[in-house]
Amino acid sequence: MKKGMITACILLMGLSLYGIIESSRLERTMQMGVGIAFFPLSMSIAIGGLAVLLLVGILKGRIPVKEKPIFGEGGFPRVLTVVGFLLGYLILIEAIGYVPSTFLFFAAMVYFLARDRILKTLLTSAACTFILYAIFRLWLKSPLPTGLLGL
Amino acid sequence: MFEHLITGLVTVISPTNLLFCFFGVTMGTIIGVLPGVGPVAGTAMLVPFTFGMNPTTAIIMLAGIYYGAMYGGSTTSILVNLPGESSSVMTCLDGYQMGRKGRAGAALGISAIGSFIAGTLSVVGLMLLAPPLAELAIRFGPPEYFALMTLGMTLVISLVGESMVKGLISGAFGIFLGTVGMDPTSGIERFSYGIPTLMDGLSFVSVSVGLFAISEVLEMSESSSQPPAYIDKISNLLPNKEDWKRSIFPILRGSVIGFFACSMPGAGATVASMLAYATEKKISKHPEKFGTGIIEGVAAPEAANNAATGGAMIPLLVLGVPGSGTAAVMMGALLIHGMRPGPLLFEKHPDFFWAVTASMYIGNIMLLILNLPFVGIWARMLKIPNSLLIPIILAISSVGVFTVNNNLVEVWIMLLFGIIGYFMKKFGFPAAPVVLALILTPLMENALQQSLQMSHQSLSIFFNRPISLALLIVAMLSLSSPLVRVFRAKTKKS
Repeated sequence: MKKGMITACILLMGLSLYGIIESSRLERTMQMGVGIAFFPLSMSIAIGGLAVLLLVGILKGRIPVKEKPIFGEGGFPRVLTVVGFLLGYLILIEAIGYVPSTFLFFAAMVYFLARDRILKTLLTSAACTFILYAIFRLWLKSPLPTGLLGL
Repeated sequence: MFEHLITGLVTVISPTNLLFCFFGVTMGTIIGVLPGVGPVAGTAMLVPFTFGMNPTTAIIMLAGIYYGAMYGGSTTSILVNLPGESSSVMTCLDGYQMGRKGRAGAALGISAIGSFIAGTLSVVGLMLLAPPLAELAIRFGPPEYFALMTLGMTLVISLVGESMVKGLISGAFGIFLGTVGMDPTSGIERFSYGIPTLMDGLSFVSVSVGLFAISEVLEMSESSSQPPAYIDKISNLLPNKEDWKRSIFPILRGSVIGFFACSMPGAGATVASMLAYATEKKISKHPEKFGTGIIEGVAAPEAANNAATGGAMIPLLVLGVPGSGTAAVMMGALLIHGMRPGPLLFEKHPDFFWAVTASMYIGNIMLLILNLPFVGIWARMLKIPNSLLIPIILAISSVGVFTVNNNLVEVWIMLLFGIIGYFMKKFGFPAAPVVLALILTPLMENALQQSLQMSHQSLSIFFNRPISLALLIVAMLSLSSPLVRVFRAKTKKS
């Protein structure tokens, strides 16, 4: 957990640096009042300052950090897989449209998380895809991505 | 006032509003029952459902989700010792013990009835307090607004989460994100790099669904096992005479604590329920019995977390400063619908305020009916496996965010903030200040610019006006309170 917190502090310092550099470019275009860079610049400095404070506190032991690991056993690979499925879903939804991509997403997720029988997984996926289609398309009349297949 | 309330009731009893009030409270109960899906995530996820609605119907539904979740949260606390949402944590202590003693029915009954009494009392409080407060707030100029928003933000930062430094980082990150897009005064682009989706700023729906719903789902997916749900037949829901005698005053005290704690920005329903539980324990003749399954330990926190919902409507609707994550999501939804919460809302749209208030009376009655005879149905919801719940939440979130502007880039932004929110949770950075700051930053920037134009660029305008000065002093005090505590502790030690 301590290593993770230190990494988080370093990332925050990076974000702060990025904000300071980008906001400083904005400052040149300042036209009125406190300027459009006031908020982003002051907040970037604040994030950087607070991240340094947090890092020093952690390193000196003033800020307690939990000893337990960030992820439980097998937790992180499962999270990564779920993120991977969601990434795949977002790519597919644009390419082949809502209906086939949502069905595939449900089938992959349910099978990965429950390891149920294939037929049960497919039926559950079809039912969920239809229910969501009914809610968004038929009831709320929201346009859904159609993709190349027009579905 | 009663004329307005009756007008509000007439608006609410239209079939559409009644239907969406019912939909809101039902969804709220489900969200409250399911562990892992809190009211903030649930409200954020369902915001896209409101886009075809008029603003009154939309906020009636979203408010229904909010107070519905408070009712539902107790069911899981009592039956499986797992709080459905954070404000039901205190209910676990005595509620679960009552269940183990075979008194789950009484615990669920007093929780539903107490929630109903507290919810109704808090709406009365909202009705009585909101109009005079709006009258006072209408005199606020840009400097007072800037100071008020600063105070709202600092209170949320100082009260939410485990560490002030982490809260401040979250708040600063949210303000930074709030500056993405076109500057409202000069029209100059900031951090949008020519990406059309970012020109209007980061969509609050994408950010809030990502930070609250997606991050929660990612956390849920970490474990392959699911907590077991032991659900027997639940009977004897109506409390007996002795239960009533012991519960009525804790319910009333919990209602007052919950309402006033949440009528200020910062203290959410969780803090309110903890305060109510601690108060009951302190004034009890048998404090040692708390935690062993006594009905006062269920009645007080459940009353407090429901009264909190009425209290939370005061800063949101009257001052335009949301006091919690859920309120921030509701404010974002209102802004999307073209309604700017604040004192002018009373002047321009009194019908809106009174319809929402009236809907809360009706919603509480609906919830009492839903949560007493049908409690068994909600309890069975606990049997929904995570393997089904996770893809459902992910798909609803993705499709919902897409339907806001028919834009897939916003769904990618949601995913990015889902990952950021997941790591924020892991490292203890609160997400509520990010969303609150994201919503308030454009308004704050505007108020700051206007104030400085009024004073010919002099910051003294914030210190020359008494209300603005007082609000800024309280904001400074709220930020410095942890430092004072550390200093005191050190002085004591030495």
